[in-house]
Amino acid sequence: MFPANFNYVRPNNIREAVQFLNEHKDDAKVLAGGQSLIPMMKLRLAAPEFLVDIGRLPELKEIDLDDAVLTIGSLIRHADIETADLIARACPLLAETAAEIGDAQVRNRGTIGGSLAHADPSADLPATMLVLDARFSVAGPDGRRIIMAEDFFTDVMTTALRPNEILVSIEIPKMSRRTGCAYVKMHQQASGFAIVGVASLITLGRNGRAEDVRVGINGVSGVPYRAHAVEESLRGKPVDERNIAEAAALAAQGVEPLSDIHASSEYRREMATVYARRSLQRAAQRASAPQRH
Amino acid sequence: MPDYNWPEPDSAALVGKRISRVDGPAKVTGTAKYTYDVTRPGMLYAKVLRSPYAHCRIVSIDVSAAEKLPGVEAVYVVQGAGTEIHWQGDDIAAVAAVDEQTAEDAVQNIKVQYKQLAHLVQEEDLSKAGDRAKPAAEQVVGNPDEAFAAAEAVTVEGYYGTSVVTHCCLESHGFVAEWEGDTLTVYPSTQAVERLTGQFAEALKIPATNVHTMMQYVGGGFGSKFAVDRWGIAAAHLAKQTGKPVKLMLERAPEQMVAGNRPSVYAKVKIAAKPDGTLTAWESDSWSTGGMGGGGSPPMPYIWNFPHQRKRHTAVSINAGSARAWRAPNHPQGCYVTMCSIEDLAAKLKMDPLDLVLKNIALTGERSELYRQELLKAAELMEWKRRWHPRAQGSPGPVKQGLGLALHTWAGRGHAAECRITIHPDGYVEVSTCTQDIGTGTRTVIAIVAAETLGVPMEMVKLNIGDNHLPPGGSSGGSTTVGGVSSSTRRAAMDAREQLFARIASGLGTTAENLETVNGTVRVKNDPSKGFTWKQAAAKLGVNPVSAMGKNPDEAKGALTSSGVGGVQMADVSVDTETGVVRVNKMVAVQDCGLIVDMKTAESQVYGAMIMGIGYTLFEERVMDEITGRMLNPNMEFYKLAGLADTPEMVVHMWTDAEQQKRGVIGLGEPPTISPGAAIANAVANATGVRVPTLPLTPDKVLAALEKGGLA
Ligand SMILES: Cc1cc2nc3c(=O)[nH]c(=O)nc-3n(C[C@H](O)[C@H](O)[C@H](O)COP(=O)(O)OP(=O)(O)OC[C@H]3O[C@@H](n4cnc5c(N)ncnc54)[C@H](O)[C@@H]3O)c2cc1C
Repeated sequence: MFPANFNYVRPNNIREAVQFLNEHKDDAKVLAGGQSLIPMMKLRLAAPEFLVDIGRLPELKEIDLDDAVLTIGSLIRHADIETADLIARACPLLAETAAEIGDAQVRNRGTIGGSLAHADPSADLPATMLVLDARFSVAGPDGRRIIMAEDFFTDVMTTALRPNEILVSIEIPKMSRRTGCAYVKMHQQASGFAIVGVASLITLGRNGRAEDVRVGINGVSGVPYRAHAVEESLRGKPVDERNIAEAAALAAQGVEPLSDIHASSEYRREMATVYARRSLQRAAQRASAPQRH
Repeated sequence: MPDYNWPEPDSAALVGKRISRVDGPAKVTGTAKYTYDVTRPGMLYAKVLRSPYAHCRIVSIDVSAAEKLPGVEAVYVVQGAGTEIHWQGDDIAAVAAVDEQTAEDAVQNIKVQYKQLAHLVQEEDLSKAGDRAKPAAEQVVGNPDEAFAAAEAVTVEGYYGTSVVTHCCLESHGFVAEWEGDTLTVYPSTQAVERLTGQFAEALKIPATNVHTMMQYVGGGFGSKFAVDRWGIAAAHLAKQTGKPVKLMLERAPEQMVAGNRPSVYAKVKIAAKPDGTLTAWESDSWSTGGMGGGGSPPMPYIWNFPHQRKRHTAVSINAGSARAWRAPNHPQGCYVTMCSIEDLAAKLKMDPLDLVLKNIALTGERSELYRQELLKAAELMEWKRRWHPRAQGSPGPVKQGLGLALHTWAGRGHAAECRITIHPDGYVEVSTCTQDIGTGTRTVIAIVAAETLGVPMEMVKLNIGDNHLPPGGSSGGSTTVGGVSSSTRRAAMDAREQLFARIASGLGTTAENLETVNGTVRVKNDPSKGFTWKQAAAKLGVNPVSAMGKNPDEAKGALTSSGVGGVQMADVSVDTETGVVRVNKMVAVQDCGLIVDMKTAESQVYGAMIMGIGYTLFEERVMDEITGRMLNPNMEFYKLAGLADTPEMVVHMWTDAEQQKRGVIGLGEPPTISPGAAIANAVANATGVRVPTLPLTPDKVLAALEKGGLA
């Protein structure tokens, strides 16, 4: 459990970091919280020649809320997301999701940017990003660009980030009133990663029916996805138990679930439905309750 | 010579009381030095190249690139060209280098050409085992055919199994080896400090007198740490080659692959009873593996002596790391199969399983009356009669609750052990015996017995253990340690006390047999006003301490240990029938083990055993890949042990009547790990109405069983 030799560099700002990445491309890896990268190096599944430590760049550590957008720097740690007042008020779904990640040690070091860039199919944050319609602000040699969450996760542990780019921040548009959200998860019993994790958001119209429904699912497929069939099924309907159950039954529609030592494909398919139902029920309760979630 | 005995419970100052373990502070503050913590001047670190294949032949091996790497000091080939390798992870070559990273780099630079051979790594499907399956002769008791054919017989058939689980010692296996001339000093992580001496001597062809083994703390053994192992010999060779101390501790992956596991068992069982529940006949077809060796043969039917039996058992050899003793070898498997089939029969008869086992309790033989009482006590603590419901007739809603029970037994007679006790003129007492405390509280028990016998506070007792230059104290296995070391300590202490009395009696104007030690004093039996404080008494020794040897067994002088313990456990679980997730809500354990030396550490063994039991029942499984022959979860990331969050309310009741007092000290470490599998699985069956046949009861298996039959 010792990594192969590597060189360590610590750029002074984003521009320097990007420049270095641009020169070394695949030979260099950004180091954030190290909770995924270091284990991979210890198992010698990764052996980058250079580690580019962005851990001290202040530009990546800001949390900001204006009228329309919550902006979270990529280096914000899971534990901060879980506990920050600002996030609890502006986006409780994010806090609820972060609280489900691994254990306290992992949350104290792991970062939101690292988790998203790593794109583990059983990570927790991706589905929540899909449901929140998050936008990822990315710095590269040619300046900044925005990648929408739905375009970001392209394959198993693969994202739209290029090797010479850094994820700078995550922008989350403000939610309307009468919106309820929930993240519900089945843990792999040992590691804590998601076998299934379902993020959902329900906005109720004045008639009490679901005006907007969004459901994002982790762990079931190699890539986190929006369960559009569930959303369509529930949209425009009262969020009662029957309608939710009917919609949730479509959670893995059109998906070929993963099969591995943690769970079979059939089991994941079934859990997608159970957890979609539980997540939607909780979101619906919160949408109707006076306290916003 | 004194009459060797244990103190009467009402006169005992320490024995049987709740005393915290003496090494607790050292452990929690980190001052306890485990083998993993040993560093020696100039020490090198060793890593081992291990077979990537489950079955192969080594065609060639080239270590030259590894040898040339800066920082590498020696390479030792454990198994060279031409050797057939029978499991993934087996040792091929070991490297010693200045640090761990260099050693690991060097291992990656060893070039081995393997010829892969056909492997078998799974045994549950016996039809695929071919000539790897070695059936043993059928065993028949009574007339099973007739019993099953009887018109009134109610029969039930079932399939039950437990997976291979690994020991998961938190401190992995390993050694530090160091030579001084022709003498080898070894710091092992072991359950058998003394036994390793001979093993090293034999393997290295040196006199046993030239091996010095020392260990103060070990981070778990559970039955897997009795041998020098290939890697231990490799460490000694590397130390010899380099002339420097070498530390070789296993990484987690090989720890899980090659350092021991508990054999599986799978069984097709048919049992019969009369309509009133009287058990009549048992028939089982079982198979198991423990690696190439073929695995154990669990006792079946376990505890219940059915009048008519037919049993067939097949050992399957597979290409995976070899089994080692695992806390109560063979018993958890036998208990699981037997108690599950009895519970299924009770369900078929629509009987409360508690009533069924009570009805048949005579079949358990000479322990049956005690079992009966223990069952009733456990039932009381679980409120069984009020809370039990027939299968699947608990509460509505997706989460179902249920109760289950199981019984177990174990031997546990104290092993051979010797002990030297010295009373120094300053009053301090030295106890020396080459035992080891594997976490069970051995240190504490020895200190209690010595202090009790001499009437001194435990703080005045200095223990020397874990060094083969001390009097032989035995290996820690089979729950034989507590009986062995407590008996030898008691005898040594009584003899030393006698010698002290003899030396000081005249000063009190009496003779030795009229003296006693009470609460820090030595005094005249019928005249308590006449006496010395302990310190004064010891000071009378002048410059010569007294010293005595105690020995177990020493039958001519009476037995202080005996054999045979038992217990009953009950579990209360909740099953989420939508997800298949099982939670244990509460467990009750009622356990006897003769005279209890320390109530606190005894209870602690039972708590730990139940938690370990929850692990192997709900989570633990060595997962092998049929295609590649590799273990898929040789880590702690995907091999789940029970943790705090999985730990239920636990109620432990130790059985302490006069009868148990008379039996002397008997071992306890293993027996309470036997019942949890069956008790929890039976509770799940009671909750859901379906039998999940094999452990661990993972959510997917629970759901599959529910889908197959049971609740809608
Ligand atoms: C025991 C354990 C349990 C865990 N359980 C869970 C769980 O239940 N749920 C869950 O979601 N996660 C879990 N994780 C993963 C954890 O959330 C990690 O923190 C996260 O995946 C990676 O974040 P990091 O900051 O540690 O990134 P690092 O490990 O430093 O980096 C991960 C990858 O992202 C790249 N990267 C990092 N930051 C950036 C950036 N700003 N721009 C571009 N690339 C970047 C790195 O180059 C690397 O490839 C667990 C981890 C451990 C060790």
